Amino acid sequence: MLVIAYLVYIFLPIALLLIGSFGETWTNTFLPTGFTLRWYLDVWNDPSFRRAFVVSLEVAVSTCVIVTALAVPLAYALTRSMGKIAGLTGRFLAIMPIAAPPAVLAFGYILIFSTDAMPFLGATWLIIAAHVVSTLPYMFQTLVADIRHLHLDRLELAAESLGASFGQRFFHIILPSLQHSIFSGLVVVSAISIGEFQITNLIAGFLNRTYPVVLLQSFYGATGFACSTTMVLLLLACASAAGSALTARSASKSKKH
Amino acid sequence: MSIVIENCSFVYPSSGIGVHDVNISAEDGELVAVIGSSGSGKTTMLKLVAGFEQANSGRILINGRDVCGVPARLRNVGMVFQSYALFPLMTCAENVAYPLKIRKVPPAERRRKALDMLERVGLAAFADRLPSSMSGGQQQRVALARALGFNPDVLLLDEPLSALDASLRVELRREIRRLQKEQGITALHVTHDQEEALSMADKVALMHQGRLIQIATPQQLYDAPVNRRVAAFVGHANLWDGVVVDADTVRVPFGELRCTCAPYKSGDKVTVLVRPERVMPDPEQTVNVFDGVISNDSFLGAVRRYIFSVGDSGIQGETARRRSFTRVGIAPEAVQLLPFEEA
Repeated sequence: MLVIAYLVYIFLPIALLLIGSFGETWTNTFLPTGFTLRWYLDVWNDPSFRRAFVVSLEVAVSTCVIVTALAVPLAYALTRSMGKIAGLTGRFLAIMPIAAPPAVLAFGYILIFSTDAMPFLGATWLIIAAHVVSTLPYMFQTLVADIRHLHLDRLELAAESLGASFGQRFFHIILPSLQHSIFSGLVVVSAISIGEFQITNLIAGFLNRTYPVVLLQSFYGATGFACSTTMVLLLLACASAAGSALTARSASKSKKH
Repeated sequence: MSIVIENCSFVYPSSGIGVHDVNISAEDGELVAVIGSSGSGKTTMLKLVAGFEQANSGRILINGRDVCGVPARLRNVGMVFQSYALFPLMTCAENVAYPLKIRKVPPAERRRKALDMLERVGLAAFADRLPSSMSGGQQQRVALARALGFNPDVLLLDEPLSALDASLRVELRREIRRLQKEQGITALHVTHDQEEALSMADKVALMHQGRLIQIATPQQLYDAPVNRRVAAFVGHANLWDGVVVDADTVRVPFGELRCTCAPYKSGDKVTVLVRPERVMPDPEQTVNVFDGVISNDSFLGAVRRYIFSVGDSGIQGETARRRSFTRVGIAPEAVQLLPFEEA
């Protein structure tokens, strides 16, 4: 019973959004009246939404690539060296998203990057950097748990005794073994990046606002338009999570063979 | 091919424990077992030979070549781990072929060699299975095939049978020994299981607290232990504190034993060793005969292990005899005197 209530709670808004996005008019009724594809066409024809869609994809893909490139060596290095500093760095990375809420991070960015010395506020790379900082812990923690759980240290010793160099061990043993955690990490990272609003809203420039930032404007217009733009965001998030996961899987497969 | 460990010392910087001034050598084709309780430094010794740790002083020669400072991957040693350490995403054949891949052997040839090795451990039919779908014993066989398949100079075995069932252990002991002999490879085998060491090895090295106590053939180690610790660790043993009375007599807590006391002189304190199987129930002899009662009797199938109480002392014995008895004898040649050490 509880489960059903929970599912209704989760899926009812999505179902209503879906229905609303095809409804012609929706004012003061439980469900909209009429059927139209107009709202989706409006989104498609709106240059600011199209641009935001592309920016969001660019940011999400870049974030995924950079987070993977940073988190894998970092998690590996930190689990290998069990020193005090390594442990502290690991804990710092783990609690960072809680200790520094996105708004705090964003205000910090505004302060630093709106100076004459560093006038970078509004640059796309700054948005990517912010997304990397806020999503890195999720990937990092997934990887650290997996490295310990899989006893990769033992496998590495075995590979070393069989003659494998560091690079060979990393690409033949470590990376393929971590494909599942990279896979699940990327689903989370891309979903967070696509949906990120707080920081991006404060630091994006006019021409590189991401989809969620532009989405806010649609709520000042027609209900159907708001519903259809939100549905597009939902699709974008799902597609990018699936896409990043599949990419991770095929990449590790091609490295294995 | 040989392994020579010369005056090797190594201390873990974090804990301060390690190995001190160890000398062990394994001649061509020999299997040398290194035994000792946990913390004795036996695994550290193996790590030094494998190159996972570098000795602080001393030399390690593999086939005459000093390998100190040579990284593990360039030492060309085959190693079998307690945890099998098979690569979970590779099939058995891929696991066995991996060292050949690293050595740039063409794919077709390394596949052929891997299948050949798997055949030799009786697992040719499992070539394309993943390790996770196999039993522990099978996985360890694959690991053995992998460690031997690339013609390493020496074979290192790190408690390879500890994770297996008792019956499987005996079977794999023979298998390891057979392959090691077939290949004529020199091997160093670390284990805490003395029975495993005695039954497999050409020589057994006993370590304690980072030091080598004795290295000898299994028979020598059992029959002529250098001190109380070796006697206690290898097999079962009666160990009593004693004082030499004269050239043929030693006093133990429950009486006097006739034996050859040389080189000890009268008045010397000694540790007296008698193996339980040398204690004879209802003896025909007239010397070293003691009356008492059986106080602790365990039936183990082929033999019975008992404690024979003489006054306040106990004599541990082993016999195939099922009947009860009230008298035991110890042949004078079964009594060995070792340097005195507190228990």
